Amino acid sequence: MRLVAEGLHFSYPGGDRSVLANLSFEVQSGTSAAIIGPSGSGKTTLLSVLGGLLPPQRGLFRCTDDDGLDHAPADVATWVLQTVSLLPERSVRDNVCLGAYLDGTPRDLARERAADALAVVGLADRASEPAGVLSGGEGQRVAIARALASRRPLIFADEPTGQLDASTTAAVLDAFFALASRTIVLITHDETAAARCDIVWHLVDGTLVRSEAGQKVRR
Amino acid sequence: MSESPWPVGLAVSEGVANARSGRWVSLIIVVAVAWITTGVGLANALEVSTLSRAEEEWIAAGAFVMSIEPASHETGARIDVAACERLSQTDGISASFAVAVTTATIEPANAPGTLTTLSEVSPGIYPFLDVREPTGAGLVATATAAGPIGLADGEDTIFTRTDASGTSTPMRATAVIVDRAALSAGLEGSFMLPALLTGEADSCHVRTDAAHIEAVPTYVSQALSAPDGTLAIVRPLLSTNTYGLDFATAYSNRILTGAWAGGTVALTALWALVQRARRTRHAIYQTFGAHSRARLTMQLTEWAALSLPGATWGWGIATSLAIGLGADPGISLTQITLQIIATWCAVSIAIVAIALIPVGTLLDALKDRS
Repeated sequence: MRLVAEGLHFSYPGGDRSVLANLSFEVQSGTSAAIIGPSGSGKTTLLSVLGGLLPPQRGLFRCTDDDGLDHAPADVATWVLQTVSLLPERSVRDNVCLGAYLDGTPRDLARERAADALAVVGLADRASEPAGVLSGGEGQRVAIARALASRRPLIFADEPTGQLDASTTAAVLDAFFALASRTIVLITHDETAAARCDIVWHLVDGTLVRSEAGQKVRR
Repeated sequence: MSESPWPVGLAVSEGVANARSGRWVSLIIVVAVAWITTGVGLANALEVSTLSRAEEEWIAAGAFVMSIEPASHETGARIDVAACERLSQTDGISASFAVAVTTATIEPANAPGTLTTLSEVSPGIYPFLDVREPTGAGLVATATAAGPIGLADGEDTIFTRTDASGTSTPMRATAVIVDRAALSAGLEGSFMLPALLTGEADSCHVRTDAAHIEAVPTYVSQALSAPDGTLAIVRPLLSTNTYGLDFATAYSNRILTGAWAGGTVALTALWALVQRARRTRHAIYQTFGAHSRARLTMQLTEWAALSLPGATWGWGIATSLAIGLGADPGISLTQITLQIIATWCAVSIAIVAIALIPVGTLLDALKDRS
């Protein structure tokens, strides 16, 4: 899934500055892009505009598949949300199944995918527990498993490793970047995680500045 | 927007799963539905039963009974007995009988010296009082007249009839005692001897119903008019409604008939609060492909899964309490069922409206911020 943004603009109502100002970028299909920047720089806002969580105000964002067809982001993307957005009273397995449902996967197959994804993030033995009893880091791993359970070609990940320790982060990123052919847009504070992406951008004053740090160690 | 990847079956199963996993919130909704439907149903059952009972007493006391007399006794005009009896075959008149007041008195053999006035009445008295005609001769009396002399219903005894001239005639008859009769005051305290009256009588009693109460007086005053065309006088047995209620409008004017609306407001408010607290949940579902129709299906399924057991519980409690408190079972079942169905349907419609209210941007909803 190739991503092209041209002249994106966004400012919050009542805000005295533009969070996104004439922002443009391009991500080739099957590659990963990290966006880093200080808190409040607009990283989450950018990802939300790209993914359709916030209505765009100006500019153009296109998701084009390998056949040249354009798609709405909501129809081709899955998420790892910054806030640990789980259904607390539902089981860990049920939460992960949501990712598979996004593809129209039947329930039985969704449960199989959920089991696989939970094994990847090390939570297979917690599948039946309510998500509300998990720690913040465990909840974040469930959110990652939920994205892994989907087969959608585009992943928007907002600080997916923010609450994880170093070893878990490495394992999760391994699983993440093992998803060949998917396009990944990763918001992170973690320089190590960003360094594993094909492209690294710094979000500065509402625009993206390309970093030389991208090391293409993904594959 | 593209087609939702969520089929209806998945949305329904998620709704059921959410209802089952809701724990305290689910329990609160079930209990609230049960209590509110109990209150709404019970209040209506008791009110309608009370009204119905009052109306039955009013009718039994003679609400639809009329006494018809000649326009003037001075002219010698009287009531035609045959015409009076025929009135019972008229549409809107369920029974009629003629009364000829006599100067005779009567006393039962077991209570000598208890002289009671005697009226002769046409056989229509039996269907009028809704009592069975004895096989032999009968003598009708109200409990008011029969009680003091110890005369029991069905008692076959000898009565002595004494005319004004002093001639006494014994007669055997079966006592027909009615507890309460819609009869004019003059007949309440007398004995009534059903007989094949011919010619003319002093008055005629007719019973009609609510649907014909307006038309019958005009009709019977003409039907029993004097030969010179003078209209008979029609007097309602109950000249005033001492029950203080206009039963023609009392049911439709009940305040509690709209109790379902109050129940709807309360349950809708509770549901809206719960959904407001769950806006993040709905945003998660939306983010993961459950479009508005799937989310609405989910909410309605959850509502149904919680409210139907609650409403059934409420129906059972309300019906048991209403019957236990003496309400009419038929009325209780009808009122409670209708009120609960009305409440449930109205809340379901309100839930659809609530589900369609925008909750701000998806990002705000996910972060549970305004």
